[in-house]
Amino acid sequence: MRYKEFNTNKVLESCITLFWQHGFGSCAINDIVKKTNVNRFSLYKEFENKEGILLAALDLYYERYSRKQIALLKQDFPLRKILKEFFLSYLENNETHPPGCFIIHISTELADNNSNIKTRLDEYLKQIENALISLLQRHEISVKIHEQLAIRLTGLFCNSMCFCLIQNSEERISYIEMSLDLILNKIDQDGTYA
Amino acid sequence: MARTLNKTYPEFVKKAQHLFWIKGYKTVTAEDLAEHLNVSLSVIYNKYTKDMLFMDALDSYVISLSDPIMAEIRNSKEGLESLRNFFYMLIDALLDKTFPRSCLMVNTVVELRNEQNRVSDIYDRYFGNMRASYLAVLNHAIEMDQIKNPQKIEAYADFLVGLIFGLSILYKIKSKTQLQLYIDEQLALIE
Repeated sequence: MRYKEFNTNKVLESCITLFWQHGFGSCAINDIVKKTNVNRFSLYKEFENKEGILLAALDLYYERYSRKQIALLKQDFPLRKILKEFFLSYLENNETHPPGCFIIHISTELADNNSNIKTRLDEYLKQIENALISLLQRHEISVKIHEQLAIRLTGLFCNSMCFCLIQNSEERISYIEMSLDLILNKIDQDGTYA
Repeated sequence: MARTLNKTYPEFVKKAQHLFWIKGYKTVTAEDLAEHLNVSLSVIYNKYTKDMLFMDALDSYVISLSDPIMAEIRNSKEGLESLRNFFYMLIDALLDKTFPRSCLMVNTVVELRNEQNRVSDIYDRYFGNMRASYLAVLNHAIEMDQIKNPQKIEAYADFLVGLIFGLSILYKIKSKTQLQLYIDEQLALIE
């Protein structure tokens, strides 16, 4: 019996780091071999081709990181606090990943011409939008504006995943707080926000 | 060689800009540039380097594309309507690929963040000018009585600067009608 001689998720974690740092297009299969210490033959056998590696890396990123971040929206705190924490969770400085979101990063590079990436971006933003709608439902906000508000907040997610990359941490916090104020105060004015 | 001499540097920059716009900075190799510009590799290594072409491509984006549009916005007397027109125009440019892939400056922010000081200086100029232009429009809008809370004008300007980033992602998956509606709703927040 022959065992696979590498740990798939560990390889994919290295690929997330590699693609995030250098962009997918500038990584040759040799760079991947060097970074993961897995030979080309085994990589192709497991993932078929370079794009197969990318898609598997995006799926792992979603399962391991995005899922937890989106779950922050399920917490039982005041609305503003939950939203602020959700946005900022992507922008914390940590040792594993650069600030921002890997799915947005790869989509910026590839979603125009690659339908697999485009589909993943679309599904990802829908997941966020749905989680936002559930959050709004729990906070007794008028049903008729749930969707509209979720779209605005998803828009803010896209804005901040790019804009905040070049801001320092004070600027990030102030941009997100200000935008949330603007979006949520509008509900106050309309008299529909409990 | 004759071909090299016939072409002017601004033409090279324009061609290189198109390549960087589609592929990003890191993906483009010296070989890609030599082929795309139709020059020998030694020209890219010794004369017009990748970094030089990239910086000038960004500069040219600011000077020939963005600055004139921003000047037009600043001088417009239509208040919030001129912002709507600007964002609708941006949506068209993104969808019909007048902008080959997103906004070149947003792509660069996502790809390089603040890795290179020289590039960060260009962001400062670009987004600073954009913010100043939005402020000018907001001031017109206040004179025209279009804004209920004039004291929030600085926050509104920051908010508007953020919009181009989200649009640069959303256009990849949304229709023109959805994007226009999205902009209308964003602008409604500052009315």
